Amino acid sequence: MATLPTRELCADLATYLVEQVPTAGVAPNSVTREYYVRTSDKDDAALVQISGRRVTIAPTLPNSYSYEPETRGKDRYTHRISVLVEKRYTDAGDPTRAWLDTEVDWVYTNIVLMFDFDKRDGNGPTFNRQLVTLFADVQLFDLTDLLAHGKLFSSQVDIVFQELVDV
Amino acid sequence: MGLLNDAGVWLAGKLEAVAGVTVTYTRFADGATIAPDIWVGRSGVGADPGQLRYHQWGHRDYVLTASTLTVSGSVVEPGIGDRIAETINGVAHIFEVQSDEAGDHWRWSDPARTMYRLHVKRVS
Repeated sequence: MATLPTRELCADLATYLVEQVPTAGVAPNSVTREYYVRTSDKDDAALVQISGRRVTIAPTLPNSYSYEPETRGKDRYTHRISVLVEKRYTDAGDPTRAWLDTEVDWVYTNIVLMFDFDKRDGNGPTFNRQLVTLFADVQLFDLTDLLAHGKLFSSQVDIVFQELVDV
Repeated sequence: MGLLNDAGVWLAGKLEAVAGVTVTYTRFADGATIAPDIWVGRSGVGADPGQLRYHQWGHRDYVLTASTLTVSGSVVEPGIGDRIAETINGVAHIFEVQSDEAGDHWRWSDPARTMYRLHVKRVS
């Protein structure tokens, strides 16, 4: 049975991120490939379980990937991948501007720029030199999560990658 | 109307005696600690299914007589970030006053405006 390329790419990106930013994978921080994230329990504080910065890489729903013939010998694959970055503000009171500055900058530096692959500059990732980043769409954070759901910083980056693969 | 109002105030005064819990209330604004007459008004769980995530979080209300929330002799309003320490079944928990989905962190809990209802979430 063939392996879904978009699923492989999620795993490769998770490994790549930990290689490039080792602290991202050191507990309590985490970087994982998943299909979804579920945080729940019967306690009255499920979100308290989130400690450190949690990065989840998954195929974007509902349109995860597509492909089309490029030439007789190659197909063009388009991968749509979402990166969810979550971190809880643990000090008393509303999250401060300085804390949010740190978190939005972390996402920009370590997700948006880190996953900006461009073949022309030789900036392709070592795991796949054919991979090119087409587009990234960033939700800075979810305001309801931040102020009404346990002060959870929750930022989702939707990235579209493309590559030519031999058929 | 006056009689009903008086009855409401009387009833509120009795709630602490029959349903009150012992807590330590710490104000975010000035760090002042208070031991108010307080009881648990509601406890539950909310959920928010997103695109990739399904989050649940706990919510809890504390109800307290407004006149017991005093600092230097003056009655104060609850503030975002105020924390309430309560031991439940032998386990120490800390809850923090935070906004609910409607954006309120507290509201009056009775028509006579003698009781605060605080919206809190557990933080540890």
